[in-house]
Amino acid sequence: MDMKVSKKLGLKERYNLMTRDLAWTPTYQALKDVFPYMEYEGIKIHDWDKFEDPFRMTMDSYWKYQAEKERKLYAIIDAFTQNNGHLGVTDARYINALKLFLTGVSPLEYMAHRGFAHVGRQYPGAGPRVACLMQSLDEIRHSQTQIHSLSNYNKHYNGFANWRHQHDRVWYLSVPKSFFDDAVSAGPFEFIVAIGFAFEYVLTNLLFVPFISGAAYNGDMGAMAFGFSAQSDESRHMTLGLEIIKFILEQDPDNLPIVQAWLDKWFWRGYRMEFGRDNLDYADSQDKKNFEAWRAQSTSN
Amino acid sequence: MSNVFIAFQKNEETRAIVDAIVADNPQAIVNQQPAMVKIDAPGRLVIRKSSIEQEIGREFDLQEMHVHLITLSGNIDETDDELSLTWNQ
Repeated sequence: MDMKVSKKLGLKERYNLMTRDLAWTPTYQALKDVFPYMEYEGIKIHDWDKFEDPFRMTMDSYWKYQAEKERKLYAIIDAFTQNNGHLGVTDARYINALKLFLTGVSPLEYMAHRGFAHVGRQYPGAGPRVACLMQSLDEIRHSQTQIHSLSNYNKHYNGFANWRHQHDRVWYLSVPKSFFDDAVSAGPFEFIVAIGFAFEYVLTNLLFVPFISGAAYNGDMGAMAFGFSAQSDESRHMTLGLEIIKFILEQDPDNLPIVQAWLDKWFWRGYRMEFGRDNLDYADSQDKKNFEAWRAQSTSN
Repeated sequence: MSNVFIAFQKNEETRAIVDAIVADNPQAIVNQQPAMVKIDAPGRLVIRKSSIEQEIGREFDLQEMHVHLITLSGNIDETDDELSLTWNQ
């Protein structure tokens, strides 16, 4: 006799069961004591259940795919370091771009980890809580994998040792440092507009994607591997940033002027973060003409 | 109309995914870049599980795409059978 197999749940049902269905409304304490940061920014949320992660990622599939990404990443890092991959990059000056990344960006990944752990705790809605929990875990992974990948350069070249120390001291790093310091000390709604939208949605396509494609073009398998591994998470982060703004705006018309002011502020602060992009244009532009010109110049010197 | 887009790492799996997307979206423009491939489409792009399975020759869970994703733009809606990118008005 055939075994009776119950029908597999669809993605939407699975998402509902594994997120909202696991949440509850506290009764021992008043809601505003459990979530004390929900009102002072002036944002009004009437129904948290209206937010739904469009990817409908649940914790079980999250771990499955993250584990796969890590296995791929570490196989490439091992291959790169075992084969003296650092000797094969296009030019010594490219390595300066990595120093800029390690001092300017990796500490921000860690700050994002802290920030999303905090706001994930503060939002009463199960959907955003789960999405923020995943992003918080992603961000500490990014910070760790960047340190791991670039540690091979630290064995051979100077300038990689004190990246965290430099983050607080080098003048041009005050731009990314203050961006995150101010975002994490803002309220939970302003934080997610600043980081989820201005940082993830805007800067991902302008800075991180070309950086990583450039790393591949320059023969840097270490940065390419951590970058691609992180980018696969970024797609989820960008989606959270975009959808959470839509959600906030749809909840109450009073939210619009507040969110608009935040966007005006954080978009332009994000624009200043393009310091990294200036460096890219110089070191490993995707623009082939610039790149070839740069390479011709660097080999003739 | 604004473009939506999606970009993948360039590898054996995504070759089939990109082929499936191109077959389902005649308006899509494929843009090859170092180590990655970006697909732009005006307004809407749809990625179907069945089309990918046909190209890749095995069962494919759409969430497997997360491993290869680099970036995207547009409002997403994902079910078991398809993932669509649109700009919701």
